[in-house]
Amino acid sequence: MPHYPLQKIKELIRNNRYDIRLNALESAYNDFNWGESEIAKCILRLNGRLHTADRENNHFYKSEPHYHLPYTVMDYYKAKYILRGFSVYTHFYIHPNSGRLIISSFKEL
Amino acid sequence: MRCSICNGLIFPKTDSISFKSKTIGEVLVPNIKHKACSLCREVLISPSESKKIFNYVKEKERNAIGRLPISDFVSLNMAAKILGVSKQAFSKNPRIKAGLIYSVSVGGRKLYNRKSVQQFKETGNGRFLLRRRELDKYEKIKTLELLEKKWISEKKHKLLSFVYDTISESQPVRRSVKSDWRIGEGIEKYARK
Repeated sequence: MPHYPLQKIKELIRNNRYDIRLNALESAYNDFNWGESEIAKCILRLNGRLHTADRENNHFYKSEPHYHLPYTVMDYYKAKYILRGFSVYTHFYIHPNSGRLIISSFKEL
Repeated sequence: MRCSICNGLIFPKTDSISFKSKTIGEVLVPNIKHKACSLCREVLISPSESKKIFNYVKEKERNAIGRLPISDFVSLNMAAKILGVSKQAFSKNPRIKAGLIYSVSVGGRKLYNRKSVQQFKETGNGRFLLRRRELDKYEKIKTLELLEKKWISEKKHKLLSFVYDTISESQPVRRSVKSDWRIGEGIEKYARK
């Protein structure tokens, strides 16, 4: 199960309470020619079912402690053909201080 | 707020941001509000600002692709032939629709960059770094044109000032835009003769 409930993640996205790391923005642009609206759309389509059980339809991959931020967990997702036929690999976390969603990575699977 | 890379402090800033594009390399996007780490320079961007970056880079890329010679582009038929698919399959392909093959519109017809189509066939992404040399060549031509114009106007200005000086020495002349034009035209006619 994802560490951060997807409902909460989607609510943050809908309320524009999220930030994207520059390298995530660059890879989304270079791999898919996508901007922030497509990134948001893609995250709104994610599901929390385990990816290893059904690689085609399930998206949640794993949760791991953040490498640098203490007491913070990152959720990893692998989503096949999620939007416009593209497969996406992304990971994100909610920043403990600000409560904002931080999209750390967003690239082609 | 703390940085996710080095745990340093993150401060809000308004500055230009260096964005790495596969098409045109590094682009400096001016006046972007962002959060930057004081130690490792990690950058976080809000959705509204990322839209600005996206539009800016897109515009720059469009200009760069537009500068490529038209002989490098092929028709839809030819592009579909290179990929080995039908015209319909080509135009319905989501990756092509997303703009992963460089294209330009000429007279309502879409033309595709030949090299980009070939790269798309090999890797599934037709984006490649447009050679700086090609863009530089265009810039040089533009600069030369500008310099030439400037040189001509300077030459004209020098001639005009010479005429003014010689006239003003002999008799006082009321200077106006109209008279400037007449003198300029006169000089040009003289030069043609």
